[in-house]
This record gives sequence, structure tokens and C-alpha cells, in this order.
Amino acid sequence: MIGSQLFEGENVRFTAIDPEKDAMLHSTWMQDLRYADLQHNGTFHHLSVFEARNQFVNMLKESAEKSNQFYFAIRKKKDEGLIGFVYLPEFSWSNGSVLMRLLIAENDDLHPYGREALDMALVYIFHELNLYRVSMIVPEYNREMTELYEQAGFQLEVRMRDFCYRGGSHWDQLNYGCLLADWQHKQAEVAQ
Amino acid sequence: MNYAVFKGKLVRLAAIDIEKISPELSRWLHDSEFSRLESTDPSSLYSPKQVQLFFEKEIKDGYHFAINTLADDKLIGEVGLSGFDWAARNAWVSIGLGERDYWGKGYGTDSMNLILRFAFCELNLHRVNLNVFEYNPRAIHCYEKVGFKHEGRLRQCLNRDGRRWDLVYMGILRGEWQESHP
Repeated sequence: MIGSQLFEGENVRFTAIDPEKDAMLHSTWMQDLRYADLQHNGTFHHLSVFEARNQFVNMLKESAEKSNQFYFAIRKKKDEGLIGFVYLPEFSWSNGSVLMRLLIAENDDLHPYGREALDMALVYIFHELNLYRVSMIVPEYNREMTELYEQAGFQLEVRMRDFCYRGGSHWDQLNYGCLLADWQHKQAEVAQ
Repeated sequence: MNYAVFKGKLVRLAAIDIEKISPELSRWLHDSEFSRLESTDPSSLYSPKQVQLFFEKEIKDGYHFAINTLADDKLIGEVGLSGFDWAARNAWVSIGLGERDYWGKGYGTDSMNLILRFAFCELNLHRVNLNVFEYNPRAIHCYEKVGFKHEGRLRQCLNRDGRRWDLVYMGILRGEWQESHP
């Protein structure tokens, strides 16, 4: 695998986040509850372009200082169009475990772009960061995301009942996990 | 109406006196069995001053209490609620009994009952969350006793003593707590 490109897929590439250029879209997308949910739990709030830019600047500053957080922009190769982000914000290095957030702005971009980005992120997690497992969190009502995780080899591990509140109701939060062994199994399946 | 919300059968929840608890917690964390039950981070050693700095930051987020025995007002641990989602009305609970002599004797259960009563009757939360390590059956049993339900486990999330252990997730809803505490 040495020599293979970690950040170049067939249809998408990972690039560094450009706070000046990417803040505009991020701010617009944050008005969509589905997208906002992918970034964090809890109460929804608007993010101005200025705030979005500052959020990126702070994230990247912390990432550079601590070297234990990773943030990538996901762009379509054909026109460099930004479609979302991959965040790896929380590591437990001694346990070989990380939390990942995959933010894809449009459901129409989930296939093939989102799926490809998720697969690339898993290669990065297992072959570059040498981790043992990765977790993802999603509210139960986001079926498109749960399907995507499952297709990529994630398993549903935890159902936190009534953890989220949206649209006047409580909803479960789902924790998905993918172990190195799950991923290798999936790779072998695909190769066959 | 119960006015004595911070008083249980064996313990009371007390305000945290940072200068008093910091040297105690520093000493408790020297007991690596305790520290390995407390955190997924590698066990390490912290001076009272370091613990104090940690508490000064931590205490701003949420509700943290010292656990004192009713019998002789001895400080034996700490319990707290943090990570609030006020719209969904939930929070994470954490508890640590540092004094070994008080393990397995109902002090943890009594403390959990108090913090849950505080969470549901005073803060009006909808649910309380926790996670606990697979290798801590004493705590899991305590949480089951006070009404927490198992909600799943992050498989093989911890790596300690050369093997993998699950991170167990548990939760209790307001209705469940009310049913068991009429």
C-alpha cells in the first residue's frame, strides 16, 4: 500500500480545509438541520460566514498545535466542488480508538461521493493512523446515513433511547462502530 | 415534597471544596485500580495542584458534588452531571468512590440514587446517560440496581492488560426512574 494515494479517490479527493473559501458553503449548509446534526449533537443554531470561518481557523489551529485531530475537506475531482468534510476530532490513542464525523451536505452526493469518502477515511484510519476501531454517531431518523455506514461495514452498537430532541419529539441516538477486523472482512468480501 | 434532596441513607452530597478534595483525589488516583475504573485515558499521577486546576475547569460545566458519609462526614468520593443537552434534557453522570473501604457496601448506590433524584426532580431531565467499562461488574451491578438499562456496547473499545474490553452504555429515562421511585 505504500505509494498508494491516501487522499485521492476515483471521484473525490481530500484536501486541507480553506477557511476563507469553505466557510461560505459551511455556513449555508448549517441552515439544514440534517447537516447540522452531522456536526454536533444538541441545539441547532445558525452559523454566520464569519463564525464558520473562525470555527475552521480554531479547529485547524488546535489540530496543528496538538497533532491529534484531523480535518479534511471532501471535493469532487471533476470540478473541485466542495461536498462536505471528514472530522476526526476525538482520539483515544492508548486504546486505538477514534470518533469520526462525516458531513455530506446533500443526500444526492452520498453515492458515490460520500461512500467513497467514507472508504478513504477508513483506509486512513486503519492504514495510516494504525487504529483498532472507529465510532460514528447519528440520530435514528437519518436513515440515509445509517444505511451508508452499514454498507461501509459499520455495525450498530448502541441505541441511546430518547437522546435527541428534534421536531417536537425525542429520538434515539445510534452509535455505529467499525473494527479493523470488520473492515478487513469487508475488503476481502469486495475483493471476491 | 422532600426538602432534603442531598441526603441519602448512607451519604450526603456536599459542595466540593476544591482545596480539600484535590489532595484526596490525587491520592485516590495513585491507586491505579481506581484510576483504571475512572477513565479510558492512560492511568497517570497527578499532583494536588494539577487536580485542583482540573477541577477549577471542570466545575464550571455541570453539577459536581463531594460524597460524604452520614456517619462521620468523611469525604469518600465525588459524583457529578455534565455534558448537558438542555433541549433534549439529558446529561452524563459520573461517579468515583476513591476510598476502598467503602467499595461494595451500598455507598455508590446511595450516591447514584441521590444524583438521579437531583437530575429528575430538581433539574427535570428526561434521561441520564453513562458509560462503564466491561471489567467493572461492581459498577454495572450498581447502575442496574438504581434502574439504568443496558443500551449497547462499543465493542473492544478499551485496550488494557493486553486484551480488549467493551465500553458498556446505559441510560435511564425519567418515566423509568419515577416508576421505581413513586
